[in-house]
Amino acid sequence: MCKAHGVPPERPATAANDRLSVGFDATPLLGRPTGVGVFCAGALAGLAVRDDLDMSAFAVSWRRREGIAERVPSGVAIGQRPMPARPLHAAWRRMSVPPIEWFVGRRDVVHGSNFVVPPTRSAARVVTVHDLTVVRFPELCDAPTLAYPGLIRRAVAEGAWIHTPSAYVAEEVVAAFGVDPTRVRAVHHGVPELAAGPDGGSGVVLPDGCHHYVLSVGTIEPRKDYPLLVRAFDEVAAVHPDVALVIVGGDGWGSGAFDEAVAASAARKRIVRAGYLDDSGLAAAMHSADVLAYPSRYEGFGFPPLQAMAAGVPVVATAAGAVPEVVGDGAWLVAPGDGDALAARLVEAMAGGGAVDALVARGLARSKDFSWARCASGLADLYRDAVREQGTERGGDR
Amino acid sequence: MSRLRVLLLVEQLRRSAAGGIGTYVLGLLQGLNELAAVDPEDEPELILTASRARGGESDDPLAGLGHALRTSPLPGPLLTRAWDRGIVRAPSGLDVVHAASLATLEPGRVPLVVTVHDLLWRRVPDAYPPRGRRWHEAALARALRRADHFVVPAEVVAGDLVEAGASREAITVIPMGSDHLPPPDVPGAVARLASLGVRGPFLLCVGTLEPRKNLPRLIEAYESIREDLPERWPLVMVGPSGWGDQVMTGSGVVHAGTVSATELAGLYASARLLAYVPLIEGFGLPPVEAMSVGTPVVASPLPSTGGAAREVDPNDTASIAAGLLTVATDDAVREELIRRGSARAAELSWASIARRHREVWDRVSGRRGAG
Repeated sequence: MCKAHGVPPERPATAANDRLSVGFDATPLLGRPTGVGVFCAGALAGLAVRDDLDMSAFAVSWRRREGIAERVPSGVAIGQRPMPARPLHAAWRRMSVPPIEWFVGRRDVVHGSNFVVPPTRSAARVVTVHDLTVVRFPELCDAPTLAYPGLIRRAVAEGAWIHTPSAYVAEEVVAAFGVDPTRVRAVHHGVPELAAGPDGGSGVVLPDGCHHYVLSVGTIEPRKDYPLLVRAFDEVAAVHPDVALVIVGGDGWGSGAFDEAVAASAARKRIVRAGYLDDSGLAAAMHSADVLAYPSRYEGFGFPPLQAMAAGVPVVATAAGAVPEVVGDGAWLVAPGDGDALAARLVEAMAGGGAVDALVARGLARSKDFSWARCASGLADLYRDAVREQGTERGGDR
Repeated sequence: MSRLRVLLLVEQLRRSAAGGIGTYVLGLLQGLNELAAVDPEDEPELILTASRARGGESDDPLAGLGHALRTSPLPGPLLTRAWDRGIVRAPSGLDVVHAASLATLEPGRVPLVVTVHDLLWRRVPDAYPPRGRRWHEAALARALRRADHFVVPAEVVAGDLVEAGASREAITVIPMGSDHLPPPDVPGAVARLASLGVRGPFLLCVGTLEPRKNLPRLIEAYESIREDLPERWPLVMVGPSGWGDQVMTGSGVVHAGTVSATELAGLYASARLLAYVPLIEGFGLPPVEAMSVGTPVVASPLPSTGGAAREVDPNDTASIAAGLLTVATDDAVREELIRRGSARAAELSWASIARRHREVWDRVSGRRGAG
């Protein structure tokens, strides 16, 4: 790459055998798993087995840094100086130091997996922007999230490359931040694997008299628009007397509107809040579901519909954000906020029949377009392009 | 033997524009870090100290630098005054106290090392505001009384310091490093230039807009050769407005203001040359930054360049003009300067500079290598 910058603690392997050394921010793997954590786990697993990359992970966390060892896939190196989160984020916001190399040694690329990428001494920088909820719907965001646009703008101004999980978000990033489109790359996620198939029961306790259920998965927050689904479910419940609505997801914030909608529902006794479920709980709930409803107002990608499609569960979703791009023809789409259309499609899906079978078949086929190996391949290309540009230090025109 | 415990005074990093001293402190930390990666047993235990953080403890950026941090409950200006007057002293249990600038504290029985970057306020008083001059003079007197050893970036500063009363044996010359620029953001720099109407080759000048930097003469020299360039390549000036009221404009002169570090690196990397012609400088960092990314330099005689720049007389506009024209257009001269500049930059790694600081600390603390 560039010059002899002092004493590199670890020589990047590029010169010798063209392997890129990549430092990956695995902080989202700590604590309760989230969509970003699912991306980190899946991407790292796909990246770890590639023979053109040397993967290592780090965590920006003082208290929980020990936890990282057991959460990264094998084949991913760890080893870092402690990185206290709040002071570091304060330093990175104001001073552009300290660079990541102070903590993890020399790398060719550093990948910030969650909207923030540390400054570097010599490594190329890649940052994942999962969605632009914060730009599109600031009223749907909590306070820490509102800091993201500044951080993204800064990273872009300093030459970072941007990875997005969908072309939809890539276009949004270009429009919102005026980024050079060649530096923004959409690479689809893979399908998060559900634990083994059903070994008896959904694990969800349905109300008396209910034998079937509409499932919805996602943290309870305004963006998911659960009140719309609750209102649509009233109509489904009227047509199908043995159907329940099961909502899997922890309470995020602003769940008051959801509570009010449930309280106002005629079918409220058939609405089950299963709360947050671990992998096997989610798998069981998914495999036994009759249909997945995904009523979101905006998504940068959308794991749950893809998981449902891969599990052979029919999907009814809103055409919100990147959802159409992800589900393709493998789900029935309705306009965001259109409760009547949502209800009609759910009623239809619950009734079953040839059209639903065909939908499931298309969903299954579509889900096979997504894999973590493919995601890793796209990220590896992105890493290589970022490093290549880094290598061409000289301005062309002088 | 237990690790050497060093208290490093880093108050400069609290300033919004930390300037050359900030670069020095961060470069030193970078170099110590690189040494520690190779030789962890020998790593000194650093304790950084500064005034209280404005945003509160847990958001203190200085706590993120990877070393222990002691903050004073006092805000910056009060703390330096308390240091000045000996009200706040060094804590116990230290082997060395190192002040990164003339803001020193009463070290007690612990040896104190002070880095003196220059004594320019004495040489060119007109280039300093009066209040700054008075503070520098008083701080120098305190440093001379308190310090056991001095670090200076150049022999000429050592001479000035001896003249001020220090003993030459108590001074070690350690230059500044060159390898602290972040990865150059060339596309960002190109976009920035385009927004200023600059496309294609350009000449670059970096530094605060203040009288000592001799910018009016540089601009005059540039104007005189502008028509002789293959095209009328602009002169791009990067840096914050400092003080003084000289007019710094001319045809083809473009002010880029303050830019991000990666963009600055990108500007260095895409410039035809760096022009840096201050009347006087303790070291002169921009030339070695330019050399580190392979850009030829036109400069006044400075400690930093080590003979790797095209030297011009900063008092002679014609000399500056000739230097600019030659380095902008003569490919053989350019190649030679790029080659020498890269070699000079490579000499000045922060790791080697940190090693020399460690040797000074070992010596003054009586750890080893005393003879």
